[in-house]
Amino acid sequence: MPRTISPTSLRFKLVLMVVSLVAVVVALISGYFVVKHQSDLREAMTARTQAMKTEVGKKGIALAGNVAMASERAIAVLDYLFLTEVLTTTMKNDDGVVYGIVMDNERRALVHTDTALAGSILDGDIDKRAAAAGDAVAIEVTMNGQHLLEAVAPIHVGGKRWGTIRLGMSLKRVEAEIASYEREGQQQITNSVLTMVVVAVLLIIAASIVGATVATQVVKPLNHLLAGVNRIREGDFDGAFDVHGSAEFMNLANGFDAMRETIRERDARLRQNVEELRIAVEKAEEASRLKSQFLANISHELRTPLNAIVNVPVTLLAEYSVFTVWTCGSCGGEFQSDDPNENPTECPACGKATLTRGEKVLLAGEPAQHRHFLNRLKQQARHLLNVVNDLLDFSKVEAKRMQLALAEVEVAEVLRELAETVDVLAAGKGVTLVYDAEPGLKLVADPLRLTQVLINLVGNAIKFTPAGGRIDIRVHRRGGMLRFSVSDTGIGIAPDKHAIVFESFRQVDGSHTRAVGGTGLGLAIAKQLVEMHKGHMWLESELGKGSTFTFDIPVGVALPSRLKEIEAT
Amino acid sequence: MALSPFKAPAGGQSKTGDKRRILYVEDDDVIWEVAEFALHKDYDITRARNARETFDLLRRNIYDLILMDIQLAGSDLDGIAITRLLKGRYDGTVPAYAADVSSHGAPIIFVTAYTSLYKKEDLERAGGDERISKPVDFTRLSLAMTRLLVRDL
Repeated sequence: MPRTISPTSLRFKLVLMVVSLVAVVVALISGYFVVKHQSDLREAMTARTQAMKTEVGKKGIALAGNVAMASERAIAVLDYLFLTEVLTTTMKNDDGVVYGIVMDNERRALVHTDTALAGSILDGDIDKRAAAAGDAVAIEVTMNGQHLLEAVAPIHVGGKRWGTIRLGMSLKRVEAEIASYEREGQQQITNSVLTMVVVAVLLIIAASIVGATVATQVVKPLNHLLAGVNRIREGDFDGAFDVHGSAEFMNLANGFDAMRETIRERDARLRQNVEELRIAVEKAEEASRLKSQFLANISHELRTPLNAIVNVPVTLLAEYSVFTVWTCGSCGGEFQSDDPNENPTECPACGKATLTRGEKVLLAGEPAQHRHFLNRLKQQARHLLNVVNDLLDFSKVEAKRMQLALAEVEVAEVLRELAETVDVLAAGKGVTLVYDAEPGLKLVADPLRLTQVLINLVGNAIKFTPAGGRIDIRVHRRGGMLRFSVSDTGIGIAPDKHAIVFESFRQVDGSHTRAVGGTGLGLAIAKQLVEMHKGHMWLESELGKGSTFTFDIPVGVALPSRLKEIEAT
Repeated sequence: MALSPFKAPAGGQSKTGDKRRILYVEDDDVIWEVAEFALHKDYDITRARNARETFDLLRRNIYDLILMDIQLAGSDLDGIAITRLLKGRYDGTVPAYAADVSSHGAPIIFVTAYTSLYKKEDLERAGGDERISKPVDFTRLSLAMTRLLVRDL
C-alpha cells in the first residue's frame, strides 16, 4: 500500500529552507545597517547643527561686543545716528545679521534697524531674557515664524550698565547647509539600501543555486536508492545500488545491498524449497500411482494361477462317484443295496457270513483329461510359487536383506540349469534357443541368483518373441569380467522406454490389452542381483528389431583372494 | 433280498439339447480350460480370445449370456470397451468388424482378476450386469448366471 506522496518534494523544501534562511539573514543585516546609518546621520547632523549654531552665536557675540564697545561713546553723546550707522554697517558687512536693536535698561528700543519687525523684536519675553544677560550671550529665538539666533551684549556706559545690544543672526545658511547635508545623508542611505537589495537578490539567487545543488546531492542518491528498491520489488536482484555521494548515502546503499543479498538468498532458498517440494510431491504421487498399479498387477498375477489351483480340484472331485459296497471275504463278490441303512452279513452268492461294508470310488471322466488338468494344476502352482518368490526376492532386495551365497561357479553348469527351465518354455512357444559360451569359464557368484537372472532374461525374451523367432544366449570373457548377453528377435523396446524397463513396478505396456502379463518386478530384481555381484546390466533395443540385455560380472570380485586362482585356470 | 451284484452306473449324465449358450471372452488359455471343464456339462460354452473373435461369433450366433474378461492380451479393445459397444455406450471409433453386431440383449458378467482397479459402479456404468472376481468361484458364478438367465426368460 503506497503512502500518499506529499506534493512538496524534498528538493523544493530544501531550496525553500536555504533561501528563507539567506533572506532572513540578509534582511536582518540590511535592516541593522539602515537603522544604524540613520541614527549616525541624525547624530552627526545634531552635532553639526550645534557646532554651526555655536559658530554663528560666537560671531554674533563678537559682533555684538564690537557694536557695544562702539556704542559706548555714541550713547554718551546721545549720537543715535552714529548708533544707527554702526548697526547698518554691521548688517552691511555681514549678511548673516538680519537686524540690530539697541535698547536701554528700561527695555526701550533706542535704535532699530527694521521698524517692520519692531513689534515682534520688542517681544517682552525676549527683551527680559536679553536684559537679564550679564555678559554677551546667544539666545535662540523664533521671531515672526523665523528661527533666529539673537546675540546679546550688555552696553556699559561709564562702567555702568546702560542697556543691551541685540543682533539678530540669521540661521538660514546653517539650515540650508544642514538640509543639504541631510539630503546627502538620505541619498546615501537610499543608495546603500538599493545596494543591499541588489546584494540580497544576488544572495538569494546564489542561495537558490546552492540549495538546489545541495538538494540534488541529497535527492539524486535517494532517487537511485528508490530505483534500486523498485528493481528488487520487480525481482531483479542483479543490479547493485548505483549510489555515489556522502558517507551516509554510501552506508545506506551498502545496507540496502546487504538487504538485497539477504532477500536474494532467501528467495533462491524458497524457490529451491518449493521446487524440491514439488518434485517430492510428484515423486510421491508417481510412486503412489505405481504402487497401486503394482498392487493391481500383483493381485492379477496371484489370482490367475489361483483360478486353476482353486477350481481344478473342485471340478475333478466332482467327477468321482462314491458308492456303498458290500464285499464277500470268501468269494470276492461285490454287492449293492437299495437300502443303505441295511446291514446284511450273509453273502448272497456263497452264503457265508463274510460280508463287509465298504466304499467304492469311480472316476467318471477320461483319465487323460484328468491327467491334463493335474498337470495344469502343477504348472499353475509352480507359477504361483514363482510369483511369490519374485515378491519375496523383491522385498528382500528392497530391504537390502538379500545375501549372496558366493561360490566358485562353472558357467556351463549355470547354463545347464537355465536350459532345464527355459527349453520347455521356448519349445512350447516355437522359439529357438542358441547357447554360445566359451568352454571352461568360471567365476565367483551366487549360482542360484545368477541362474535366476538368466532365467528372467530368457523368460522375458521368450514372452516377447513370436513363434519362429530365435534367442541367443552368449557368455564371453572380457578382461576381468564375464559378459552375459541375451538377444531376441522380438518386438523390441522404444529407446525412450529403456530407462523405465529396469524400474520396479514398471511394465513398458501398462494397458489392459497388453500381450504379456507379469509383476513388473523381474527385471528390477535381475538388475539389483547383478549389481550385488558388482556388475552392471544394460539394454540395447529398437522397436521391431529385437532386444539385447547384457550384463558384466567381475570374475572374482566378491572374493578377491580367489581371483588369481580363478584367472590361473 | 435287497442286495444285488454291484454294477457301475453308465457315465456322462450331461445335459443335451436345451443347454443355454454362453460366450466366454477370455485371453488366458488356462483360465478358459478350467472354466470350460467346469461349465461344459451344464452350458454350451464357446470361447472368444479377443474383440474381433467376439464380434465374429456374435454376428453368426445368438448367446444367452456373455462372460467377459477385462484385460485381453493382443486385442484392440478391452472387455470394458466391448461391453460398452454391445450396450450402446461406446463413444470411441467403432472398428469395422464390430459394425452392426448385436448381442441381442444377452446379460454380461465381468470376470476379472483386477478387483482393485475397477469399482463395481464403473463396471455397472459400462453395462456389466454382474461382477465375479478371479479366482472364479463357480458356485457363485453359476448362481449369478442362473439368476440372470431366469430374469431373461
